[in-house]
Amino acid sequence: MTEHPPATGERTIFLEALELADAEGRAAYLATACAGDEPLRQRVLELFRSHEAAAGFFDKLGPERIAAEPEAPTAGVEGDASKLSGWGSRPLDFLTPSDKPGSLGRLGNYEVEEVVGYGGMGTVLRVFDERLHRAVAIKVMSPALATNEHARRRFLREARAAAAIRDDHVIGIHGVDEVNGLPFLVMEYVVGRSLAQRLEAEGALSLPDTLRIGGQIARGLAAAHAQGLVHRDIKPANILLENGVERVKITDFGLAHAVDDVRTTHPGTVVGTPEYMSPEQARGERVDHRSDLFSLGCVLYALCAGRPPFRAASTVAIIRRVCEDTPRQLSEVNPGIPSWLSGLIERLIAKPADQRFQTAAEVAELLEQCLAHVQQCGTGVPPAVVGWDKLAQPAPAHHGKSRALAPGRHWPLAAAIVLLLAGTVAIAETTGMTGMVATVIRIVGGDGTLVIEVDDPNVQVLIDGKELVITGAGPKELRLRPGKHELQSVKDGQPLSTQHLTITRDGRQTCCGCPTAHADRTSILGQPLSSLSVSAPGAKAESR
Amino acid sequence: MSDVTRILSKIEAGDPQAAEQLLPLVYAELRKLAAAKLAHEKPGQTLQATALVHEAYLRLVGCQRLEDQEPVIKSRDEQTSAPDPSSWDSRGHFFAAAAESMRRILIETARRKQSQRHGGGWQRHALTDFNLASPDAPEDLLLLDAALNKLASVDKPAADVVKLRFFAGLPLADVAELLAISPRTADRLWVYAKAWLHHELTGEGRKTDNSRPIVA
Repeated sequence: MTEHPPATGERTIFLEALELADAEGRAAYLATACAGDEPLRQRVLELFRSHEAAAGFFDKLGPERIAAEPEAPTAGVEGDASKLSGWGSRPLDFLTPSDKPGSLGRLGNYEVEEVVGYGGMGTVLRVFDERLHRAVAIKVMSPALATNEHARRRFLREARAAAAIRDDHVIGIHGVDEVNGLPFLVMEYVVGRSLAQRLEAEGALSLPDTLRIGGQIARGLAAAHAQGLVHRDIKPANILLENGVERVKITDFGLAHAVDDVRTTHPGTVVGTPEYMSPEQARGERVDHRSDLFSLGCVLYALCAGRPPFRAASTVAIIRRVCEDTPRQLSEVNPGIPSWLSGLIERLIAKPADQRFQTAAEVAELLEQCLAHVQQCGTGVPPAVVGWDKLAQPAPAHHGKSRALAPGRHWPLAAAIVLLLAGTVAIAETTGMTGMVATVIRIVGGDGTLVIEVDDPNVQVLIDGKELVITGAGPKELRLRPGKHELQSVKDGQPLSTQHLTITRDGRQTCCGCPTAHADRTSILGQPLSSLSVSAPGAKAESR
Repeated sequence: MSDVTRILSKIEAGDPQAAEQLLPLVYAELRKLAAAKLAHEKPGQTLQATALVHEAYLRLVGCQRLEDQEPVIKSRDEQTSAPDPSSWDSRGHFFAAAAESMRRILIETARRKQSQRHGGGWQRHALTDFNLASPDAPEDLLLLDAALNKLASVDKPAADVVKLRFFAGLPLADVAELLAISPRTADRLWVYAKAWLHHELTGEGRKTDNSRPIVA
């Protein structure tokens, strides 16, 4: 062994092993490096398992990946902050000094009074607009990201998308501006916490609150959909509850895309947290407003149960559950939920979009009528509402089975799973920061076909060590033989993420990102997403 | 010039005693700021710890006019006039002090709020951004604090990375700069620290035979 004190030795071994591509290599390395120190080897293996499970654990604190900064190489300048993408990472240095006492500084014509939220993606400030004499919120992009054209475009797209909607339940955008090249959004200042925080603090909501908040979210969605916008990231963290009245304000349209905006949207791009994602979104298919309804259903489930319907320890496992599993019956989790509500929720989270409610407006109606009913008559009797027949009927048979396949579609298990390989930035809580993904690689199973789409031209994709040359826009297809493969994404010479997958031919799914992995499986590796198998029963995947 | 700025300048100038004075001062300022915000008593208010640290930075060290910005790092040889309190070195000291202060404030609040809860035990929900106004599940924070202390005793660099991230909310790139390590090293320390803490907090991955000593 080395002379390093045990802790450093352990860390080094752990990290070195983590970087090794394949399981055998890792096992061999461990054997050598630990040199017979069995407790050490066991310890490192345990750390691997923790590493696996920790993926989502600390994420909310914003562990963004560094955008591939080269490791102090050629430059020869130690600690030169100006190297950090143009602006540098100086916190909030874009503010100019102000004379006003108590002010933190000025941003253009605004007096900055308070830092409401700070995260890797950007900052939200409470600001006083002197011309209109009111408080507004300003969301400033992180300077380190402002130089990234892709990120800027996304940021500005959010502004346009949200600004088009005027509704009580959607956060108002007043304008977009720029100071010294740094874009920022001027929005309504809402005092209050997010639905996520409310759930964390108080657990499941009462029935009337669930109906009320659910109905308001649906109203906000209806307004967005009327503008042809799909939010795409409806989840409790993006629902603000305005104080006092606890009025819903939907926020963070950073991922919203216009339904007909095909040119700027690559179908197959998946962004957002998987727990509230719709199956079609998770699979990278084209998404319409009904995807938001699925997410709404998940949110309603969370309001009733205190936790979302599809949970697992890793991103990939969650996506798999979203696509295939039926969540635990609400009546089991919370017996106080009347069957007409759990029926409504079940319908919202039907896997095929066609089987859900088709418009947010009708869902809003239903929830409002149910609320009125409950307030007047209690929960014993199901509400006699318009559309009652929709609630009374059990959801169609397929939907109930846990390995359901949609009619007319042969979906191999875990066939299409989206991997986020590059630059995933965690999404901060309260303040509705935008998450951004630079590159997405999608695997559509069936016969082992791999479909890849890349948004960021600076990212290279390597398959089994060979570079995949991506020419032109649109998806590229290539076939992979059964067996093990390694996918790596690289930017500016720095690896961003490594992913392993195994293509099998027998149609059986063997593993999918479970952290309780199998000691012999040695498939825990690399970055948060773990090894997975794509079954290949021969049926082609559905085209987009 | 605020007291903090004065002390930062002294640190920059090499005053050996100045560094000790920084922590109590920053701590006092952060508490004052937190108390002032909490006093507004907005229902359902959140007070994000990292936002507080950054606001404190602005209040205590101040913002620099863009046009006046000097090149970021002056080597010791190049030190011209008054030491620049916004240089990386000062910034490092400030944020390290702020992170430590915030940690203490959060722990105090958690201990206060910890009523007759039984057992404690790590709740299996993801750690959310620390909220001063109503720290949820204070046991989680106290357990994390204990785990962090343990990590610091066996691997200080890794613990330092965690503190700056958790309590000052700094992105890894900044952490790297402040600790004078490469971004890649910071990333590696972070990956290791997460696995270490998770293992410590959950006992996950531990074999059923608990009698076997864990090599730390």
